[in-house]
Amino acid sequence: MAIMYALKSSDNEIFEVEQKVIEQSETIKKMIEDGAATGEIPLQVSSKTLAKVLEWCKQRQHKTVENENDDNKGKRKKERDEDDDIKEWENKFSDELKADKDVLFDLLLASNYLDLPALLSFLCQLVADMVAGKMPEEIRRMFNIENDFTPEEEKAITAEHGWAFQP
Amino acid sequence: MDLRMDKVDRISALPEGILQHIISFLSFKQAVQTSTLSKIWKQAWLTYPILNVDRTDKDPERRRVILTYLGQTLLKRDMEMISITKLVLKMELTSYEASYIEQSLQYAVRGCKLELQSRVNLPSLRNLSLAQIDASDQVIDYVVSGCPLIEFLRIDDCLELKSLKLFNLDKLKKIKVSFNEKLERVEINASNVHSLSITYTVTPCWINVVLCKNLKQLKLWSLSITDEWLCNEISELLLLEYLDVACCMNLESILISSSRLKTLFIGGCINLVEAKIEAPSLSAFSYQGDMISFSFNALALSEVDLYFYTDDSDAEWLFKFIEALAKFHQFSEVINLKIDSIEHMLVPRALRQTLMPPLSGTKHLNFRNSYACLRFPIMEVVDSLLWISPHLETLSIEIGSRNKIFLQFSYNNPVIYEGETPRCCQSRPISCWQHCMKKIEIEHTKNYIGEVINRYSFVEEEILEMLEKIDAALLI
Repeated sequence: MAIMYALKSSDNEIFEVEQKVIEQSETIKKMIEDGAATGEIPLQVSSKTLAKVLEWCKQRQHKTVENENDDNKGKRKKERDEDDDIKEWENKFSDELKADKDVLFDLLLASNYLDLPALLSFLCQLVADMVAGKMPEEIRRMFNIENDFTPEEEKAITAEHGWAFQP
Repeated sequence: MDLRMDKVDRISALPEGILQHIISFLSFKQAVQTSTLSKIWKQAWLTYPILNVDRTDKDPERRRVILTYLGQTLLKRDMEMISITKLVLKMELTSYEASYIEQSLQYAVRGCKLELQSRVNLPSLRNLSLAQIDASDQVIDYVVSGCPLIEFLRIDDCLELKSLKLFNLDKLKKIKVSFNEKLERVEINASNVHSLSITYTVTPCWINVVLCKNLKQLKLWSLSITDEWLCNEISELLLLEYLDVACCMNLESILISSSRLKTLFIGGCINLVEAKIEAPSLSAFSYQGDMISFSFNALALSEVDLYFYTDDSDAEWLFKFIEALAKFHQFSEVINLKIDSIEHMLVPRALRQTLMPPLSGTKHLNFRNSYACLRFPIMEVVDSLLWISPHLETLSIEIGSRNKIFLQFSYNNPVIYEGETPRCCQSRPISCWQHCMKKIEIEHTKNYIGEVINRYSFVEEEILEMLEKIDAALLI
């Protein structure tokens, strides 16, 4: 019987989760170890975001459990298939986040707060992919970044960094 | 989608660490681009400690621009004290190109993980310091072998370094290698090196420097070198003038035979029991540590510094101490003697009748008491020091770092006592100071700044009385 924990989101929704799944979060793991996690574990994460976080954690947990149950025979093939499955799942996950950047940033902050290094890296890579190959003006528009340099500052920056904009 | 959200810049509100994490997945060029987005992004780039120059451009102009930028960035980070934790340079540089970055490399590559794909040519670099570099033997070799004109090389705290081989670097003059924990092997064949320092490598390390034929200065601190190694290596280094050996725990018996050696320091080798020195040119010798036995053949010796630890001193220690001092009396006119506390070297009066004063030829004795207070009257101290070294011209006594007493003596002629010999002088070749002292001038300085608080000048009968006055002054 798997040990279950109850996580409480900032908007008071309860999520019942297996210990193995939530222990990927160093923050929660520490709370459990410190004995601070009797009953519900209150988290500063909205239910919408927490659901996404758990979706990610379960997917990864799923992967590790299956690997443990493998015999060596036919493992290669299985692994390859599995990798394809994960890729597909990740692509879908990424597409959703790209479409709703608000969720993306909530998730970034949550992964930072919950100390989920794999998710954090995944999301940073995702943002980097969105940025890569785009000119600053496009990036600003994509993320609503305000160009807060004065014209003089802008001139100095172009002089220093201009080379990076040449093809 | 909520329209309001379109206007909010959420990405720039992320913690700087996350922005830098995002930057870490970008190419060097794109990473530089992000620094032009806004002030927040500029700041994130300015403090980002990793420079990963992944460009392998062929176009010379573009390469020049990138390298100039890298050079400026390294310099800027150094000025802002932002250490670079990782520097990756994938380009193979021509000698001309290297000149754009070599100066800044010198200063900025500190505490850095260095990854190089091939040899870096830094053809005019003269001074290279690699500190806290996380780099393999191979990478260090790439860097060093690409600097044919290098004169000064310093390698500190490179924890991955296991084997250091320096060959065919004819311009190399000075080498310092320290705190490289995993260093197992050092082999240097650089004929013009005149100064070499290998320090703080406590793991057993095989060292060979005998091919540095022009070596004049050698410093060996905290190494696992053996008696035999030291003896052989020194005998091969014919031009060696300066040797400093300290905290080498495996040394038990130091045997040094060197014709040119002028300065020798030995200190803190806790297992040392003897030092045999054959050095006809030696002029300055310094020893610090437990009492050991000395054997000297060093006729040119003019200044001796001795600091003996007194942790486990006893009656036997005192005999050894007197015996050790006696080894220096024929060589040195100036002796600097330091001891933690004077009580260990006060020679009991009964002993003075049977022993010979060890430093009868010494003219100037500078004594330092580490502790800030003397547990004995200054009279006793002067008396004891004047037994050790009768007929001194000057005696300086430093107590802690606060008090210094400088005494200048003149004696009645003849110094050799004739006629009726007082009992205290009977067993001696020369009379004891109390019976031939003509005049003493005393200067007592106090405080760190060296303010003279008292000057005394007096003759014969007043001596004891005056010394008592100084005792009183010391207590203030």
